[in-house]
Amino acid sequence: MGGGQGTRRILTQSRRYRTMLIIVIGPAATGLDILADPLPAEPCVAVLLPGTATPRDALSGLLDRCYVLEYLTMPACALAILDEVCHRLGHLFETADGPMVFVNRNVTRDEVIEITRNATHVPSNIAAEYGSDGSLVQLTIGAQVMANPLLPRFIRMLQARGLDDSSITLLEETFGGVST
Amino acid sequence: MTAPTMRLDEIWKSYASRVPGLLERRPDFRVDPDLPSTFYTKHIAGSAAVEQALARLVIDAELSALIEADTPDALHLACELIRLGSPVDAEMSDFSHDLYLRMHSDIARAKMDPLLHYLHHGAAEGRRILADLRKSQYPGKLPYSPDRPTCLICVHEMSRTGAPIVGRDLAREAAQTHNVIVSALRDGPLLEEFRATSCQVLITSDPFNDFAAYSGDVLQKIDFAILNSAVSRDYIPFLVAKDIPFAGYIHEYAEYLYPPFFFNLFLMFADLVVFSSDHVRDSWKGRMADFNFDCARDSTIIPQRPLFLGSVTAERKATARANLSQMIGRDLSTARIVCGAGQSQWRKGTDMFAMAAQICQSRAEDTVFIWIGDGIVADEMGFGAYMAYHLRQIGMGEEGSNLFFLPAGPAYFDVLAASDAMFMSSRLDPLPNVVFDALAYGCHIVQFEGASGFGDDIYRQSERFSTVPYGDPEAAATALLALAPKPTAETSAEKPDFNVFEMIRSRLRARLKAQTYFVRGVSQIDTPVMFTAEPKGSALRQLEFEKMARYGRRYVWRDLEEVEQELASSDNWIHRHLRLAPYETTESAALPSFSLHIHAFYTDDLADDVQRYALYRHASRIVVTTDTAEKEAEIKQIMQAEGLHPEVVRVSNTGRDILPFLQLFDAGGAAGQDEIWCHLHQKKSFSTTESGDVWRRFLMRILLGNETEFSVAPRLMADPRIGLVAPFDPYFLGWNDSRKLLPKFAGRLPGPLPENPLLFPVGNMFWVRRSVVLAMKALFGQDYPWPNEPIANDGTEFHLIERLWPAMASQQELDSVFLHKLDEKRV
Repeated sequence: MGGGQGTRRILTQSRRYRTMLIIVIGPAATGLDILADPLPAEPCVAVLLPGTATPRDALSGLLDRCYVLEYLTMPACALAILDEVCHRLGHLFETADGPMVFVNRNVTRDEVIEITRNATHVPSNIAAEYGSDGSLVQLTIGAQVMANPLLPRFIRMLQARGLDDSSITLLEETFGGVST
Repeated sequence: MTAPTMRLDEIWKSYASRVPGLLERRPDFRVDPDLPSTFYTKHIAGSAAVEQALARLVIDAELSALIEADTPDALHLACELIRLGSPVDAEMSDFSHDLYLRMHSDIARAKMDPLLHYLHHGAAEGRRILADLRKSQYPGKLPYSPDRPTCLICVHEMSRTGAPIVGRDLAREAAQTHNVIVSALRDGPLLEEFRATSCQVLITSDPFNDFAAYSGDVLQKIDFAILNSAVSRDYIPFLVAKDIPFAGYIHEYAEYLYPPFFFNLFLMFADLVVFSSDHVRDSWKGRMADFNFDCARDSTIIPQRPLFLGSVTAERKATARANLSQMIGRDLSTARIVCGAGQSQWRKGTDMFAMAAQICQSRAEDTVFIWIGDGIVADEMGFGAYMAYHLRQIGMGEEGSNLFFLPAGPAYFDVLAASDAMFMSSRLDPLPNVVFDALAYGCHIVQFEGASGFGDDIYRQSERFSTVPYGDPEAAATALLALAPKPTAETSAEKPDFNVFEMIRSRLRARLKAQTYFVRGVSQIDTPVMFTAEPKGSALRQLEFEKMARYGRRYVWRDLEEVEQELASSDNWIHRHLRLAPYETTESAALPSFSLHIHAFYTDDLADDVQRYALYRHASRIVVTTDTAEKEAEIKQIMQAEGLHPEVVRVSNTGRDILPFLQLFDAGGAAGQDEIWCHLHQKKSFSTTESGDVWRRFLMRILLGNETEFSVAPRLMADPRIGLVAPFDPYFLGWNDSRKLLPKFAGRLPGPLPENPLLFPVGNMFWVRRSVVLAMKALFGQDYPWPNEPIANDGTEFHLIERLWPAMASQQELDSVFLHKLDEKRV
């Protein structure tokens, strides 16, 4: 909306990057308690899956610290979640000055802290991890890739074509990086 | 094969190749492999009128020429090409099958073939088709630039009046930085000015259906929209369906926007609501509370123009006075001139302007009142006839008169330049442009308290405004006569920069960026707001639900848990006694003794009801109220045929269904000492629409059960701690217009009324305990002056009673139970 298409932002090594964290909360993923205290990530997007009991006051407290995307019905795949984040929170990508970490599995608070810290090490990297069922369980996008204004549009395009999580490999092929 | 015939085959190949596999199956349009004869041969050929209608549809230039030249099979080809449907039909003709069905839901419901219907019936009936839509799509004068974001600006019409002019100015400002699409529900004289500031102008009275059929690059991605004026509400379904963020720019007071539902769509779905003044916004605050609309977060104030206090030179003032003197035949060179401007009507208070002139006549002979504007039409009975008579009686415009009326036109600026003051006599007028104009011309403004957005602090703090008690022309006259003549100045202040579009755009963007909560998916309660309740509307219902849930706005409860949480978090004395319970059935042995009251002003559904609900046969008494002897006889006949013996009480047609019920409880009334009552009614308003029928069945099913089952409701009433049992309604309905009556009754209740009732027996059918009814009667008192029919659709005492039943139960320390049955269709 009125924002320009933008050009690739140049990131300098001297800058301390802020890591964007998208963390999926749900019965089969991480518990809500992981967000009881602020995580060393900014911005933080909490994706609440169906079955996450979230009393109103808990949600209100959460909104003080996080963006919250609440699913009342199960998203088709992890890519659908990323698409929704790009759609609703596109401005976070416009202003991102660090890497992004997407966590879609059961992790501890210490693990999340470790993952977000490691994400800052390779600015040009894209690293994806898949579960045994082929679903995307973790994705790290380096700071330099995040600075590419085409990234959110590319993710949206993948979802618009009805592709599933395996299409994340196209992200890796297009924007570079090493898959794990 | 002749050359034209070969061309027909080539045209067929060109279009048919767009449909995968078609040419292989059907190389010749003259033969349909799936049918014994082609559509054309079977349905079209041989009827001159139908063939002409078909020929008129073709827009492919070459095919048109071949048809014009009477080329054999040319019409046959045209018909078979159109039959291919989307996208071929819309490319080579002015007919789209899909659009025809969207435009004419009766054809879709009847599952008729669109082309067949149109050619044989629709054309003669004048039904709209793609051709009409294309005529309403005007290219703008500005090129589309893919590098720019695209903004849609919607206005209700293109007349040269207030809101459309604001829309035109918005489009002008937007065009500096954006691709602009302008759309209006109706065209008008501003059309060319809108074309000059946009890439496309679309005139449509049905944006939801029509926009999909418009073509053009600029329409591919609309980044956001501004709906200028509350009457642009018809664009909201389209914007929600397409997930386009939008701001509503509201200039109108809620007081005159009826029916409210359609205007309230702004409070449900706009990402940002922009009001032109605080005073206008204040008028919406009751409605905001009804929808959980966060006023501070989701609304803002942007006047359509800046406060600019200008002046005129002495020469300009003198010239203007000389011009006006000639026009009205009176020397105005030294007079005190008071002007008024705008369309003459009650809202503008033109009558009070005339009264102020009458008051000043004897007090200050040299004071002259001039109103410029049209609207006094002597044969218009709403206002013109009476105002014209008023003006004749006081000798307006005659020799010695101090009151003159001028038609709208070029004299306007002379009136402003010549006048010392403007008397804004409006009763309710948001932020009239004429006041901004008058201020720019150095005039002082006299206005009524609480009548306009010019009562906002930003204006009141200016020395240019005098505010007098509401509707008091004597006070206005006194204030006007106290004013010094308008000072003149040789130089005027600079007009401030003021870009309304940019202000709206930036605040909308800021609002969108500030949003931290989003919802995806469908909830436990799948009830529509704008879209259809049918299965095909599920995706649209999800979109409208998601948007309201995102902003915490509410017109439908999200789920039962939300209701429970809302009740649990309220400490209001009424809410503490509200609770939900699931609908269940019960055995006849568990039924307490109960009485049934039916108000049967209409008797249409009574026979069905008696057969459909077994509980009728278990009532200790059935008391029916109605208004005529004929209906009484009919009711008895219907019920006796089912073995029932009602007591029929004849009442006057006052107080809808509820006053007849309350009056049963008068001393010596038919209610006697019966403790438990079920109140039902046969109101016509329920059954005038299909959705009304569904709603009534919903209520009756939960309250009574069905042919074989008994609802648990009467069994619950056997619990002496329960005073009211009613269906849980999935809609979250507030006080609505009844809010205006709350101050009158609040002091008679044991505690404060809540901001929202949360739950009440929507539809006014319920089970109730005698003591609760008596409490309701006591609230109003024995001799309450109940309003007679006709009454308003909302906001009367009878609508308030509907919402106060839980309060009456709580007052008795009794609970109100709302039975939920989410599998029962509500709409």
